[in-house]
Amino acid sequence: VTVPTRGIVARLSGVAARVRGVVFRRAADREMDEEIRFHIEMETEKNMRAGMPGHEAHRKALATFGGVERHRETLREARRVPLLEPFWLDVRFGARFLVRDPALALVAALTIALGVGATTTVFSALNTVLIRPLPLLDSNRLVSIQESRSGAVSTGLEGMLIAYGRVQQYRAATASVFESLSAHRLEASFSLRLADATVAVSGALTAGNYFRTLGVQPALGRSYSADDAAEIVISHELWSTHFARDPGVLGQAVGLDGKTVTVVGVAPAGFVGATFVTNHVWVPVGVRSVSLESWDIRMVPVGSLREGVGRAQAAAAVDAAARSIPAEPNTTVRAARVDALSTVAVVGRAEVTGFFALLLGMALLVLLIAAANIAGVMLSRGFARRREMAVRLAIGAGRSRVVRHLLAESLLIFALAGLLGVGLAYLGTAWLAGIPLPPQLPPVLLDLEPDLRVLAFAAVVTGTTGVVFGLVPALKASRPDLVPALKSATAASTAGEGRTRNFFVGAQVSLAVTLLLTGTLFARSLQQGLRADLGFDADGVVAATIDLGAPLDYERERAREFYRALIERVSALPGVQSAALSQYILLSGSRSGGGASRPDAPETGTTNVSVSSVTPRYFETMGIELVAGRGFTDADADGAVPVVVINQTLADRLWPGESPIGRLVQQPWTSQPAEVIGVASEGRYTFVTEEPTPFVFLSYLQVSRPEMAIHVRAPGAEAATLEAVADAVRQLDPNLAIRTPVWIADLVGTGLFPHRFGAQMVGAFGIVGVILAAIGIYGVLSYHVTRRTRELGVRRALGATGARVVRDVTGRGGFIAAVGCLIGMLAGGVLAHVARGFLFGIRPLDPLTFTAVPILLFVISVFASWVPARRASAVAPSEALRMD
Amino acid sequence: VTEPQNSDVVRGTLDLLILKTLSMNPNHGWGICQRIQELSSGILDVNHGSLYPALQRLEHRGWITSWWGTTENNRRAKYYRLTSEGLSGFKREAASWRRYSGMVDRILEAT
Repeated sequence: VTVPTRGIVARLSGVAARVRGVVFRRAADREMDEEIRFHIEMETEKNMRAGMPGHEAHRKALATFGGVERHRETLREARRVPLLEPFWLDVRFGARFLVRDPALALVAALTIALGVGATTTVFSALNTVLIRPLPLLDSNRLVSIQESRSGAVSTGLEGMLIAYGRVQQYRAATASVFESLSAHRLEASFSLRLADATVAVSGALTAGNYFRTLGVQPALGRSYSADDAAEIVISHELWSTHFARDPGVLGQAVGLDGKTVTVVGVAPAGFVGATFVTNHVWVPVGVRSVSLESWDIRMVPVGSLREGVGRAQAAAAVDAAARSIPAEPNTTVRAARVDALSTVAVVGRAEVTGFFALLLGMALLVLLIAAANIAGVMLSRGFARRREMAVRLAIGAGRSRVVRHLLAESLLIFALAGLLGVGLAYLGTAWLAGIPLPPQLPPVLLDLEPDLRVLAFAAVVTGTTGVVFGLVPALKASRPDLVPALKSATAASTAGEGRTRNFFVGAQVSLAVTLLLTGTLFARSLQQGLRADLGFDADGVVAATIDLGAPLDYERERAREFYRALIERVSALPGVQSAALSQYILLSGSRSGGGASRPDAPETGTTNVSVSSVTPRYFETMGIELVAGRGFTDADADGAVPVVVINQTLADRLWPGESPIGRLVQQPWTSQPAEVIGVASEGRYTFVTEEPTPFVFLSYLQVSRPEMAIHVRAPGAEAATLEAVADAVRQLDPNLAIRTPVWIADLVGTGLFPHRFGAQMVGAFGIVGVILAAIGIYGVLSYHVTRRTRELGVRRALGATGARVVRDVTGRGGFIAAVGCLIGMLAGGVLAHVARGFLFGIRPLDPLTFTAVPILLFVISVFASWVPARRASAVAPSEALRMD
Repeated sequence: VTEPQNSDVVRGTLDLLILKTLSMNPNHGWGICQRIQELSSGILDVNHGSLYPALQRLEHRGWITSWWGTTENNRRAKYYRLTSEGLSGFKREAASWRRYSGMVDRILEAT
């Protein structure tokens, strides 16, 4: 194993020696001379010691050496590296020019660095979330299984999971492709009772074979191996913070959600399992679920592939198995697939990928604007140096040589920009890491720091941009019209050079328009989202989830009694206006759904609806308006006619133009069709940004669920109420704790997190883009005006007014800006169409945005050209004529 | 320029001799020359100048590295030493040289 490494090290040291010889050519020559001199001196001294006179000794030494000059030449010749040397000469040449104008070089590098920094920051986040393998795992071998289902299924997080009973069926049916199939489920909070304290820690419920499947050995002790072992593995961090790294932790009994379990292992430092969440305990699934064959515990299956089994083969086996093993009640599995494990392995990979692709595209636009800006500057410089170029060409320098020098200049600027940009990316990722994530998410472990892949990306992007944008001005500048260029350094501008520069300015304006359009659309989405009519009144409502299912397994009647008592206690709290239960917390991202239809008119078809089971007073607590009929009462219980409240959207779908009150609706949750007793106004249910969704409310007393969320309206007393609710729950059952307490109003903000994030990022990019574009226009027109000072002076002398001159110059800028704006609008329209999934409440071609942004950019552009125009008109004709 | 046949050490052999010398001690160019002459009891008279291209070649191959040091007489000199890659390369080449020269010996001594 060591030999090839040594080979590489040796080769590298050899390469380093060669590069040194080329890059520090003079130093190498000096060293060579010194070495030879030393040799001759030593030899001379030796000869003198042998008795030769000084002069003779020296002559003899030279003769033994055998022609100093000849050997020097051989050595120099051998030091040459075929491609490196001319390249290095170009670089040195370019550097000499840049050093002559360091301010320009620095400003240019900083400008491009903005683009590189933006791009690299976004790629760094994308890398962390989508590409980088999870720590300590062999990502080639590990996959997760996902199903797509129809029927009475939950969507959101819960819907992505697969019942553990079914995972076990998979295990048996896919043994040919998986060496081991395990499963895990993240739990935001376990209550861990230690000797001195009780702490809430995040962790994962896992199948017994979890660590074996992942191929990870605990750093200390062992892993549990049975699904129902009363044992846990703790994280290295928890071991450090709460057990002072005492090896005696092994075998200690701790309390976990009211049960006693034994710590049998400490995970390696940095291990988070097959997720991106900071976990502190790994717990066998049996601790939570009593019946492991049942459907009540849902998990993410994670399997390790057998040696030689590819992902495609595993996918085929999993898909076949999915159809042959029993499905959950009321669901059909349409397909199953395997996915690589990455940070976003379970939920919304497609959305996250799209979101980051969009951000990356925006960042690349910033880079393009910056590069076009600098290309314009280099172009102007190129024309200013026409005479120099012409001289060099005239005395016989090959055009390719001249192009190479100019390109080397650009590449040096880009190389400097790359370094600065990576520095900016470090700042950018630090800023990103500081953005608070929505509180509902489990503690997310995101190490955003750029790694080697990110640095390679930055190098490739910067290099490519540098070559493309350096080549154009270099090619242009290396082809001057020799005769006029030699005659005068400031010959009147030709049409050709103007076109290229106008192109770069127009490109910047259009890219800036595209960027700002997208940024504004995001901002408008956010604004719409914040203003959206939620269909309920979120202010002053808090909620918390209580699970009476496994492991406590309340009987149905006992659960109802518990909840009745809880509502009674909570309603009596000071400041509480009303309290009720609901199966789901609105806007929390969780939902279950199924098909609803009219038994009396099957031809109207089945509508997919979302559903939640609620208690009386829920509508009052949430401030949901009933536009027809009534809400639930205590009488809507078992034995009575099944009833539902539907929302306006469903009413319009199933009974367009009619009153649905008293009509029957067929759905999977009650055994017989239920009577519609009320219609709730339209609202948002799962996400702030969803389309109008048909919704069915069921009566809790008819369709009970063990896990319910208590909702309390207590304006002004939210925090105290949540604490009081937690106390009340503990008093009713000491083994119970509330989960995920939330202020409903916060969920609105959480739901808009991607929009806020997108608006901030793209908005920042847009502003940078606009500033760069304005500088670009200003720069190019200033240069243009300076070049034309004499011509303008002539025109003034011939009677053109100052205003006329201003109008001409500004008009030129305005024309370029107008064309740029139009192209930018086209590009922006295409982009908005692509990104429409991330927009909300506005049309992709939002008229306000598509009017305001181009006008703004146009005005800025005209202003940027008006400033130099003013300057030009202020020059006295006599002065202008005297120039040159 | 013609040189005496007996002192014209062929290029590959010169490399081998340099490696052998350096495998015993790091040394500077002149020192290497002296060692080679000493070890060959003055029979092999290396053309001193041709040593340096050989050293540069070996350095570019990564078999030896160089640094500036001071001699016992406090003179600045460029020193060379073997890299680990150079050491194993030397062993390989030495072995193949022995096989080759052994074979030539056997042929020359055949009766």
